Amino acid sequence: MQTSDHRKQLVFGLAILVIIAVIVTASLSANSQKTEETSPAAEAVTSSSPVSETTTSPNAPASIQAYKDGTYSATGTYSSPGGSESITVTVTLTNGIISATNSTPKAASSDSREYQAKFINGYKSLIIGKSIDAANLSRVSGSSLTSTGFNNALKSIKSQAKT
Amino acid sequence: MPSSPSSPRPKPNPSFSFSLEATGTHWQVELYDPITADRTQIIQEVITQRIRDFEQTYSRFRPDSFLNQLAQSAGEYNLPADAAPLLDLYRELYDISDGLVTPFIGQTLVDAGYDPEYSFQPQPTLRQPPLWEDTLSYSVESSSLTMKQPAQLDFGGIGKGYLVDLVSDVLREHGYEHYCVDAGGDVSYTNPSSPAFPMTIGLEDPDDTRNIIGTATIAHGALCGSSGNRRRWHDYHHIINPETLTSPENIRAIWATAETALLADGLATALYFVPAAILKKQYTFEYILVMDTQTIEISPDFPGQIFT
Repeated sequence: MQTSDHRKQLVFGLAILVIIAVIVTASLSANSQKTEETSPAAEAVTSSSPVSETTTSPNAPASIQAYKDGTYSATGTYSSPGGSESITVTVTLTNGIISATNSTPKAASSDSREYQAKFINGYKSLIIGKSIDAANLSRVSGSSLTSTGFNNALKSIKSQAKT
Repeated sequence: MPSSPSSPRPKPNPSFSFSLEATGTHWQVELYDPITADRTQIIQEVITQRIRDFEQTYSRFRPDSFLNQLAQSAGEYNLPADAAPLLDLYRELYDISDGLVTPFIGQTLVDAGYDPEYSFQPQPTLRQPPLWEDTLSYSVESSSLTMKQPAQLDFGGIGKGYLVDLVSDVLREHGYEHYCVDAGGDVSYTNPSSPAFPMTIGLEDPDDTRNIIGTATIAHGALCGSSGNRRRWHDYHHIINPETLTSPENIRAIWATAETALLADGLATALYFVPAAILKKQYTFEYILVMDTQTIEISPDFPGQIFT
């Protein structure tokens, strides 16, 4: 079914957004003791501590400049139809602005290519069904032909249903 | 004869063919190798016996089958000599599908009315199948099969394809090289050395069985089809989802091609429950899905075409 690829892309994109949000929250809470106006929604932080830091003024107001500059990275996992996948997002904050991002998907399997099937939409209006007789084929495949006993039993319950 | 984008290639003429009713459907065996009259009788008898032995072991519809013994009592049994490949594939697909493909679906089918008497009267609620780990273990090394609790097995999802392969094995063992085994549309075509004669098979329209919506062309391998169009009664057809206890209606028909009919049949069943992309990571096969949304999904290398 074709939704799995689309859903995978959606989940992937969502995961990146969540991870960036976590990183930004982490940088916020790193400043929370210093400035009382900052009120970060200091949820559980899954990111690592800043890899590199520059100091900022401890009395800086709760504005975007209060975010500690640095490079942050976080790894998130999400489940896709193919199984559990993880990505690592690295974000660099300079003067509170994200100046660089890098995301590295870690595919769970070695074959992480998206599988692409072909789709024919609205097939009933497109298909020119051919009669089996006219097609001159010796062999047809579909559901298994049913036995006489089976067919008789079906007929019997259908006629019961009518009374 | 109407012209079509790709007319069927020349069909080989069978030197011998016979048909029989078995496993609830219509079988046709065709041989293309030269064969003498006396050998035709032998091969027909051997194949018929092989099929009957299989049914006596694995059919839910034989009251005294081995399968029905497992439904009566727990305990240790002799593992039938041909059981392992069938159980192995069921176990793999059970794991991939989180239990949606299961050989323990028999009681659910019976509750739904698909019982040996074909009563087709569903119970108000259906029982879910038990978990594999609570029910069955088997060992090829010790030739044993252990039922931890009695359970009604049903091998309908994969068994026919497996039997098609076993019949092909019989033909090969008797020295034949070019033949076709067709169990009601589950087909295995063996022709390793003459690519000039592939087998073209019509793909039946699930909504109008007088028509085909495409063809598959098999040079050497198997094609299995599945659809809920024929075996249906009340709200059910022959495939029941063990979790929802309903029959999937989003997929109208499935075809799978693979090297063996065992695999093609197993995947044609699994595709009701598992996305093709996941199965493709583990198995080599091609497929077509006809969805109820009027969309057809077809794998890029499917050996055939839909008539558009």
